[in-house]
Amino acid sequence: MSTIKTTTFVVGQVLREIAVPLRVVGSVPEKALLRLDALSVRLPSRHGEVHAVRHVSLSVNAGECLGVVGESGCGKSTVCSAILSLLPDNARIDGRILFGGKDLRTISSKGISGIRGREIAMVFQDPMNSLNPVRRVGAQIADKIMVHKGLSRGAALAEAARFLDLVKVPAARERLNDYPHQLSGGLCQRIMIGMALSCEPKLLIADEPTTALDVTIQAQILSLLGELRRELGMAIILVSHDLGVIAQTSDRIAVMYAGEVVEEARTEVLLKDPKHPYTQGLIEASPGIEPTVGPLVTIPGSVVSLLGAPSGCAFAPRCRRANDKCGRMPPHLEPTSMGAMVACHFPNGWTQ
Amino acid sequence: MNDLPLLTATKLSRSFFFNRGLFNSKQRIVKAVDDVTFALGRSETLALVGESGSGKSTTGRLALGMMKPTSGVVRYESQDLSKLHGTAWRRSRRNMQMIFQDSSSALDPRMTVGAQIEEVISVHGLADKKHSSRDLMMDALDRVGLGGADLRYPRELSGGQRQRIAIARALAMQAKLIVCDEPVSALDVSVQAQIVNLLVEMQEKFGLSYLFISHDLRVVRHISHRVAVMYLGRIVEMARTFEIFENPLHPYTRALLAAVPAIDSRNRHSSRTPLIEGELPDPASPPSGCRFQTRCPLVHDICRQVEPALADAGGDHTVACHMTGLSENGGSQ
Amino acid sequence: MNVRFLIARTLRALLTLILVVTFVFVMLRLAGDPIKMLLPEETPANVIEQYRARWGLDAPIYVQYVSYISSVLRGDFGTSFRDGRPALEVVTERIPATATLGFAGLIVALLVGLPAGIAAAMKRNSAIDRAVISFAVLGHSIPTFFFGILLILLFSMSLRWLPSSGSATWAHLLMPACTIGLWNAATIARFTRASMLDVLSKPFMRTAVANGLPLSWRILGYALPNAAIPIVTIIGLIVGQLLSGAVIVETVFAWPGIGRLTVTAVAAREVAVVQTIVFLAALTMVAANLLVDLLYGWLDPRIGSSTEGKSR
Repeated sequence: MSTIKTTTFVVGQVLREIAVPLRVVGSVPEKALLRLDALSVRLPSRHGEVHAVRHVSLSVNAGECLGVVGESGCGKSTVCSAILSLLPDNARIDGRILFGGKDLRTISSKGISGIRGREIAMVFQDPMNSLNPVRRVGAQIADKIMVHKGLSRGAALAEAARFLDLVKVPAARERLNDYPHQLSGGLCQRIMIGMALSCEPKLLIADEPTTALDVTIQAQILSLLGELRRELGMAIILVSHDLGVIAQTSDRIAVMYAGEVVEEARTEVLLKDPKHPYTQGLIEASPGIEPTVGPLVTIPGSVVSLLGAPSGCAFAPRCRRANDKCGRMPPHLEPTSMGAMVACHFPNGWTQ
Repeated sequence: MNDLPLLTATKLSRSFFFNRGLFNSKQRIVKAVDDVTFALGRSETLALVGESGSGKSTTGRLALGMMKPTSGVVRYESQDLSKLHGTAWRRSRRNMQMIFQDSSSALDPRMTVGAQIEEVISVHGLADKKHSSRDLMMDALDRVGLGGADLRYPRELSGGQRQRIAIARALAMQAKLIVCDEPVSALDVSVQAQIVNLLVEMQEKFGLSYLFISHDLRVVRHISHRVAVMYLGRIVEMARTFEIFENPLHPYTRALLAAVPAIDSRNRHSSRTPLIEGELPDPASPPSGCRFQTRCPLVHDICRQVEPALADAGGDHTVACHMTGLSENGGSQ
Repeated sequence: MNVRFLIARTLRALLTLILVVTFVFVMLRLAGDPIKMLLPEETPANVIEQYRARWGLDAPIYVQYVSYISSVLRGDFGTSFRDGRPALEVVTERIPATATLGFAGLIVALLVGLPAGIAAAMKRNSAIDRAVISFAVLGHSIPTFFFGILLILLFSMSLRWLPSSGSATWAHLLMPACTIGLWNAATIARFTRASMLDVLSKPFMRTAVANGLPLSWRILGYALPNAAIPIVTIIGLIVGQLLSGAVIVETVFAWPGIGRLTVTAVAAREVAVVQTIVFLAALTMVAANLLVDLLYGWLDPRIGSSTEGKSR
């Protein structure tokens, strides 16, 4: 994978202009599998409308792993739910969700049902509670296969066993008859992943898939996801609050803050040369296992309210380099020299 | 550090019994903690790390006297906790506090946080003529950076702020030992760093000792002086933090370290394949010999038969593994 | 299903029945001398003693208890003194009528209550939801005797569509069954709605949506089986109360079942018959509960296999 490939992802209006000449240089023009175009989500709450996702533009290529990182309430899970239309009916959604050329927001409810689980599959944070407790796990996987592939129950169960083998569930055939409460969290997550893969989706959305698991099991699941991606050539959107998890698995990282994407770059670029002060803070605050001296770096203050629109940059109140421009004008995602995108008025510190 | 440890736990064991069924008299016995010995010095942080089911939380509860051990002794300032009564018991209770992963469960939702802290101050009779309970409460809130939040209710505070309140309450009770059970696991990284820094600062100021229970080795590296690695109820390795991270001897410790998803370069590429396969065995029927043998990449015949004892690896470093070449005389216990 | 679980529940049900029988025995003795209740006040003392001896009432209380229990076990509940037939026979001949009514009522309750509750939960805060909630509140605040009379006034008196009393044809069954059914439907609808709302918010329902399962599959295969336990519990209570609940409705519609027999037996101080009905009512309740317990284990694999933690 080259930097050229990354830059050709069409992310919003601005990048499009810069991307064109690069596309000429690159041999094959890449077409994004999924493209979010200025996606906004507003959710009603007791205190007013929460603008949970604000003009998020992202794209994922076939076979690519995009990591989305951010702290709780940054809108990363809402973005995932929006893609598969899993948000409550009273959510107000704007922008486009383009998948294979179709806008998932405008297709019929029958159309979206055909995409859910078949074209785009999802794995959730809490594997124990994400499986139906009163139905055998084999039957649950078979249900899905029967709906999408039109197989008989017997054939669907055989297919289910094949996919449990694929995700390395020991004694897969016997596990089909187990109920979720008879299995560990790690096994449940493997089964969730097996279920997600059972209709060979083009895109897998994994929303905090390892947060509820032990670190050793987390490592196993992450390595499994990596292997499956290489074997099946599917794209993954991996969402996590843990930059370490994202850094290990993703080709590209999008950092979200207060409902917006504030920085997006290839993993090595983002970790080595973060431009946005929030990304820098996030990296510095994440404790590593290398020895350090002195206290951990923190980001002062707390996240702004998502009620109403901010007048300027949402991160300005916590930013060490903010000035009055940041309070007045919201920055937009703009490309940097390294092929990254950053939404900051002063991406190179004070020099500008 | 004072020579005399603040807290010692000697050969602590704790079993849980589960009924199998109405007419089945055979019980399922889980030895959650099995023969655990450690000492915690003044102003020291000892981390207990391990997977869920390793017995680290139960060890924390036993150390506090919140739970009675099946066998073994916990001594606080050289006194056997199970033999303390009356005033001495009350004082030790006050000096030993606990902070949980979710502090909202330990706070009364219908009382302001200030009133709750004042309450514990007056219950323990800590106010005097010079310092009213209100002064002491305000002091404690100031110290954790929440001065002026006394009239707030727990629900009006964020997760990080509630964790500060829990620390303030422990400080107000003049705690000497705080058992922190996953205190930052539910927090976002930026807030997590704030709480870790606060804990370190309070330790330096007031000479607190922490028993720090965590599954997150990254946080442990930054806060603890020593680390005890637990597996299925036993301590398998214990050493100073630097030693554990730079010179881990037990294969389980190495596996834990390799599994850490760190952003720094060390783990990024090496750990694509995890070092250990499989999951924690059923604690009710632990494997014969070494408990780690079912998942250990170095497993040998002896590991399946003989349980390794903790052996001295020099420099305050102990490890229970046959393959380190230290436990030839260790044998079974 | 666990055989031990089954045996344990059955034993518990038997114990409940023995307690009920004992309770009836104690209450009857506490209520006063049965002889004085049955014989006229001016009966001569020697005649009273004669009756006492004949009915074994002169024996010590524990002997009376043992002989009472043993006769109950033999199915002997004494005789109805009005027509001299065994009390059990008097009561059992009425069972078909009450069972027919109760079963029909239950069918109505389920046919109305379940879909209403499911629809309300699916369309929370919609007009359907509000209508179902109003129905549930109204259904419970209107007493059955009043609702029954309303039905009679409307369909028998004004419209003259249905007979107001008796049990000759299915048309006779319609109004009493609806009276019982709608009253119970209100309860079932409320519980179904609450239980479904709880289940619909669970993460596994989101998984089912994300897997692209069609709505009907999600409701019938995923939501309902999980919502079933509270619903089955409430249905069990309804079935258990069918017998005792029939008293009012059977009286209003002159339905020749156990409910009406209860009223006449109480009025005539037919101790043996009342006693038999109480026993039968208890038996229904215990049997319904036993059935519900067994259903739990079948509905939720976590029940029965779980071990309760005990610490020492």
